[in-house]
Amino acid sequence: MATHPISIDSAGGEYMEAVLVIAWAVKSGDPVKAGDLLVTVETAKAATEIEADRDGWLAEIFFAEGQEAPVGAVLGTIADEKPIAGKPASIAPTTAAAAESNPREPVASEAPSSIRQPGSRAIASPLARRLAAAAGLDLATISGSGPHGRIKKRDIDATLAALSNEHDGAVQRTPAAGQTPSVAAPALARQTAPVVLIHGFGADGSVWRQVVPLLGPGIETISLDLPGHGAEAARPAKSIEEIAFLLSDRLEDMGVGNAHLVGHSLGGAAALALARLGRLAVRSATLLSPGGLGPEINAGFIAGLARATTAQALERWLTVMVGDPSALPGGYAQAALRQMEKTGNRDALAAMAESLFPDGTQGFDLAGALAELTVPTRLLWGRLDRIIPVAHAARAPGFTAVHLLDGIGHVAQIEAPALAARLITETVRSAG
Amino acid sequence: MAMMRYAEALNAALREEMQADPSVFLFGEDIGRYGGVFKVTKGLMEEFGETRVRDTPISEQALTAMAVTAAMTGTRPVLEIMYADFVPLTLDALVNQASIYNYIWNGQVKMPFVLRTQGGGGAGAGAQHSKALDSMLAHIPGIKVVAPSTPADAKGMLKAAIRDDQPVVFLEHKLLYNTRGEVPDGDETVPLGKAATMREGSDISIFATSKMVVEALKAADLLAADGVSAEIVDLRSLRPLDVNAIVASISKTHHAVVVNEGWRFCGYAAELSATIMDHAFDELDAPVARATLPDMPIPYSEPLETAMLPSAEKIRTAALKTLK
Repeated sequence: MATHPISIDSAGGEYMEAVLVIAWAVKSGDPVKAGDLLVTVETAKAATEIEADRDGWLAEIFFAEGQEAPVGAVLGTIADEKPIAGKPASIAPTTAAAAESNPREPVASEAPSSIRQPGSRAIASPLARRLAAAAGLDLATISGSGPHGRIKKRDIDATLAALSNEHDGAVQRTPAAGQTPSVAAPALARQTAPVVLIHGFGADGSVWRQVVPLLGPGIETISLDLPGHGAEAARPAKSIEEIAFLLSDRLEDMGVGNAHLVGHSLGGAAALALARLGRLAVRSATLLSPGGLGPEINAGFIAGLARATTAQALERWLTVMVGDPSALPGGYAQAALRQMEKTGNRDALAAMAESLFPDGTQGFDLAGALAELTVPTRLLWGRLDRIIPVAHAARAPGFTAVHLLDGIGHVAQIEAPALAARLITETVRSAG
Repeated sequence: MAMMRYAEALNAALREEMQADPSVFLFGEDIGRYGGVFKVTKGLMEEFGETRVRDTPISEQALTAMAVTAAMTGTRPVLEIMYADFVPLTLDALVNQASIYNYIWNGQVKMPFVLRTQGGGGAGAGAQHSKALDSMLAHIPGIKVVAPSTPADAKGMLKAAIRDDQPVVFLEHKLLYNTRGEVPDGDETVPLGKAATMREGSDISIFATSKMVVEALKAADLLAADGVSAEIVDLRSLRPLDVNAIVASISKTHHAVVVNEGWRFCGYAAELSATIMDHAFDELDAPVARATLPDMPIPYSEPLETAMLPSAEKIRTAALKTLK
């Protein structure tokens, strides 16, 4: 059966190395016509729709919703003939980058034949058990090489190495015949508490793009768009409490009952408000230049960000975000502007800015919420932050680890992604 | 540094401590005129006289009770029990007197005596002169039990034992007396309760004391040929036990073989295994393996005795099995 790749070579992924699969419009086995919407992916700052280039049937999906795919990867295939149920067509992905890319998902699809039945206890050494738990690996998906099939450290190491190789693109993996690629919602595949990422004002989930691939193995992330932002552009919020409620509702819908929180700027304030709300069991908190710890905020920046209509203007404001403007990815402002225009959230942003930051002041105080946290908590703040003064870090209670970053401005996750990823990973790991 | 035999190192320790402290005195069977059956006390009666180096009748029970009372009344006796096989005769004084007086009299009584003895097989000495009864002794709270493997530790730990205010059982090995090693000059002591890493390794930790350290080091050579990097930890003290050293090594290698020349059932190797699980369970990548004497008397026949005693080859086999 001849199949044809669905690729994202020309899908506008020029600013990033990876795209996020947002939604498949058709299911495996569905008929498609040339021009039909197949899949929506998110590139640097824009959602891109990929259409069918021929008539046929959607044969295979290699990247499930919520997974990241390298630019150039084959996302799935269209078959000329109707696929036989349970026997999907098999082709080798045609580009080097084509591989299932999300290393943080357990590798159920390539589990060896000797894996245990669900519910039965895996035989594993105490060390292997501990390492698997730390890495978020499900022992049921790992085959043991020790006596009586016992899972040992070397089996965990091998699994992690395989995941890491996939992540580096060093190993190509073709979905094996007879196996249905996992298209389950992230909530169903989750093994450990996920890391919920909350971006700042005027941004969206893409601010975490550089950090996410650098997080430790086994750490699963969920990026939430703030109300009035990104995918939630149509639903703005007027107060930090309302933001917390809306985020909490979305997490509940996803089946997320406990999570590690990572928040940047307004997202940091939202994380604290979310914790204070008490509906989510918070396992740890990593806050990057969070709002809510003092009254000062760069009102000019907020207004400029909300009002900018040209890439040039926006770029001027975006350079204020960082300690070193060269840290901003090329074309970042243009991509940001395109996304803002596309989703039309400029008015929503302006309205939110007015209610959240009246008279150029942070209209909410979350120092109390921070003080009430009983979980590992870490604060990252660039010493060159020109949006929210680094002096606010001094309000952190004693149990909080405070990292003041030299040469870094307001967006450590973009300016120092490796360090940000390391510190997020350490916070998550320390919470167990 | 001086090259010395293990027995000479012990002799030097006794001489130095007797010179430094007039309350130190020695007694035991054949230790004076004969110089001890393993010549550890050779020349000491000549140097210190018959009051401080005393030959005694054959009565281990009376001798140990004598050590207890002498220690309680202000001296630092060093008693030699010729064979560890006779330790059961000393047990009443150890279990019912020496080990408990400090507790029941609220610390008002010091018990600074050393009971030196030697045990272990491999010399064709038969069922009544070959045992290592260290497990039996280490079971008793309130006494220290040490078993050095090198001449340097023999000297340094015997000096520390004599200065200790608790009863110390000092276990020697008949096949170690003639081993040689560098011994630091001067008044160097080795603290009791501290292990020593004899060889660094990354794949498996082997814990041993006394003569079994020698076997473990040979096993490490065999294992190296197998491509296994073994870490050899000489525990030196059975009680108090250096748990931190054990945990540190296990945390590195995640595998362990515990070696003890005594019987397996209720033996010291079992105690080590349980200790490892108490403190380092989550570091273990495989069950702890034991290399011990089987649960039966040591035969006089040399081939049979050799077949029974834990050895480098048996340690190697246990290590390879653990690493599967």
